[in-house]
Amino acid sequence: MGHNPVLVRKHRRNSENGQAIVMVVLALFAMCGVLGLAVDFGWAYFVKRAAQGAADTAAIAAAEERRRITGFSGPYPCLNGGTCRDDSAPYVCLPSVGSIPADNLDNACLYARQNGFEEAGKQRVRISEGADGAPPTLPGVTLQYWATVRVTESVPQLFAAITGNPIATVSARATAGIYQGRLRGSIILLNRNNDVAEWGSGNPTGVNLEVQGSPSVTAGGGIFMASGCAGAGCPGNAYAGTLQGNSATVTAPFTSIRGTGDVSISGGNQTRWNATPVNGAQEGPEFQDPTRRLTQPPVSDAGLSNCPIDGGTLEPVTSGGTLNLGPGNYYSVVTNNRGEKIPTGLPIKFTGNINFRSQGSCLQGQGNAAAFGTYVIYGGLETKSGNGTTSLTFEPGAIVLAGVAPKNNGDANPLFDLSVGGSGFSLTGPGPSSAGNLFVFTDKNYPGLTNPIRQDPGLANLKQGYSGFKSGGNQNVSFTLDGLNENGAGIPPELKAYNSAVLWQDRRNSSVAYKPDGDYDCTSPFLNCTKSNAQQAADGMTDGSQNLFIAAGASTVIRGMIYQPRGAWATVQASPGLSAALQIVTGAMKVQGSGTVNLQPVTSALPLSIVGLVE
Amino acid sequence: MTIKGKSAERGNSLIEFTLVGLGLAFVLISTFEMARGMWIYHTLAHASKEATRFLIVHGAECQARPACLAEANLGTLASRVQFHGVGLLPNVLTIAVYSGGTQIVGSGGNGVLLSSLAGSSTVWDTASLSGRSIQVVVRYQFRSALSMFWPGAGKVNFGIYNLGASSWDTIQF
Repeated sequence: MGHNPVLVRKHRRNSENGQAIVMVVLALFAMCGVLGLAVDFGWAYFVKRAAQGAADTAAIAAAEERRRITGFSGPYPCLNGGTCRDDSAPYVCLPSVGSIPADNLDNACLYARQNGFEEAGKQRVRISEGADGAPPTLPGVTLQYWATVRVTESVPQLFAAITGNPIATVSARATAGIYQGRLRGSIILLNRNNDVAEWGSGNPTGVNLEVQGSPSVTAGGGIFMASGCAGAGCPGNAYAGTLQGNSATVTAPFTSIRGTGDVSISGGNQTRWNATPVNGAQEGPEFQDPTRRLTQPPVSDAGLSNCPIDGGTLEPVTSGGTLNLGPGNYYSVVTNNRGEKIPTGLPIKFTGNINFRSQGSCLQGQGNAAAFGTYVIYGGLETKSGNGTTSLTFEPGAIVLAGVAPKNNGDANPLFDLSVGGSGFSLTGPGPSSAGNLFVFTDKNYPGLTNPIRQDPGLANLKQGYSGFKSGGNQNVSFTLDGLNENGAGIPPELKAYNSAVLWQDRRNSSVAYKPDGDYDCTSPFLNCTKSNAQQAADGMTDGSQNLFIAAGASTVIRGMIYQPRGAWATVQASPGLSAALQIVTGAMKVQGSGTVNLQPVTSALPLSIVGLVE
Repeated sequence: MTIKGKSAERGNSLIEFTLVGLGLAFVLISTFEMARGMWIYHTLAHASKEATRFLIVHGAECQARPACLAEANLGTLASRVQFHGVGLLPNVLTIAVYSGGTQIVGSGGNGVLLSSLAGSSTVWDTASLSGRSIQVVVRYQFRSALSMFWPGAGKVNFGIYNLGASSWDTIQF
């Protein structure tokens, strides 16, 4: 008897009944597991990313606030009575941290909370800190201050809960520090698109570097240019850099130009600017004033004697002798018929051998290589006409040229004029191992000058003047000057932050508005950070006073940093030549002549207080 | 009459489902592909940010620390990008690095494939880059099924869309 095929099919169907549901159930378990795993990992990954962001910002906030509280010069001991919160007893963020932080660690907690993490519920925010050393997580480094923020969150698990792990802990760590960097680059040009350099030919706007004639410019540490000008779109179709003439050259390991700025090379070989300048650089600290957040060098006239110079001439008593000057306030006077010494405001003329000694006072200077003198000179310094040779020798100290009367037409006069007569001049500093010299070019209202003599009617007309040493066509001038040395004997502690500065132009002598802390002031009424004519006059500026002369004399060795604010400019006469470890910070620079300007990297540059993530 | 009516409607649901299903499938795939694209973009942006973060803590200070110097190479950078770029394929992911406008990884504005950097021991000049801005640009070839629905696309090809992300900061330490 054969099988009924219909019954066989029914039997087979009945035997397979329910298999699908079993497979689906089993598959559902697996799918739910995979789903749970995906959710677990996905959520944990998301929390990790958020925690890292919170830790990064909190760590930077701790270090930034620490520096803001103490100031930019350091040192930076921990705020908890000098006791640092290390890993064994970290600072625990308060759940109720207010909107106004009590200290830098509280500030870090605030930032962590703003980024979604606080010390409450399943979240923890702990901070450890230290000063003058290395964080445990980063051995081998030296930081002035550091803060490590650890952010953790307990994340409930779906899949892992089956294996007995209902909670996973996600954590992130970031360490930020305050540390000392050094100014980089040989030529740092700060002017932006709207800043003017009044060196003729239409007062170019938005120009950083202009090379004319046939000089060879070498910047061993590189060039930074902050102007975004590249022809069209800028006044006068200006370029950030211009190389003219057929044989002028610029050599630097790099020329970095902010944004769309570019260079124009006219005539001759287009490769005369080597390495090829590169634009497109993002806005960054390298294009901003490196001395921002520093006040101007705190040079004070407190306790200085007044040294009226009768007839306005400094000259040794005997021919071939030496006149020793001590710290003091120097100004030219005439004696009236009543025997009174009346300040004239005229430049003090000098000839012969003159030593600026670091101790004593006025015309009775005394030598002390370990001391640091301050000399405030009203009315300017000027070589005396004649045929003799003149030498100025400086012991460690700050020389403040506190104003010069402008010309009758309102144009600026030089504060330090070497162009008058004479058969040879030399300016010699105390050498690179000493505390060095700082020449401050300013007017009588420089911060720190308080001597009542400034109010004398005879000095009423003293204004800002040209900075630098004007030698004009007189090339028989030699310089051997060194900037401030933070390790030099006798250097005032408050000047260590200005290490390497040798020439400093008052920030008020600029068309750009500065705040006292060195940041640009771009708030109203300073449109594009620019001062009006009235505001410039209020700062003692005269027509063209923002200019600084750098003359490459017979032997020019100026080591350190020449500083001018943004909105000022330098004119460099490259004949016969200048070669030294020198950095030039200015708004714009024009190089002309036929010699060489060889700026070599500086071994100990301006210290920069830097805050940043370190791991 | 009733039976005749049912017979007349037989097959309508299939046609309707087909018509509606095409639209639904398009919406479903579109949604999925858009979400996938967004996910890849965000992953790309995150990888770029992490690469930048890695670079900014490997500056001049690295010179004095062998442990830091040992990882200041392109191979480690690539592995960081790969680690944070979860699910991104290294053979269609390019990376370019610029310092102050100068391209230091890749050339001519083009990046290099991440896969080609794996294991690279090329060290970047940590000292000279310090204090300067650094920018990381990553690009990814996103192959999407969405293009098959493009009118007139002809034969079915998965289209390629280049997704890009960049991040910059300043190397300070």
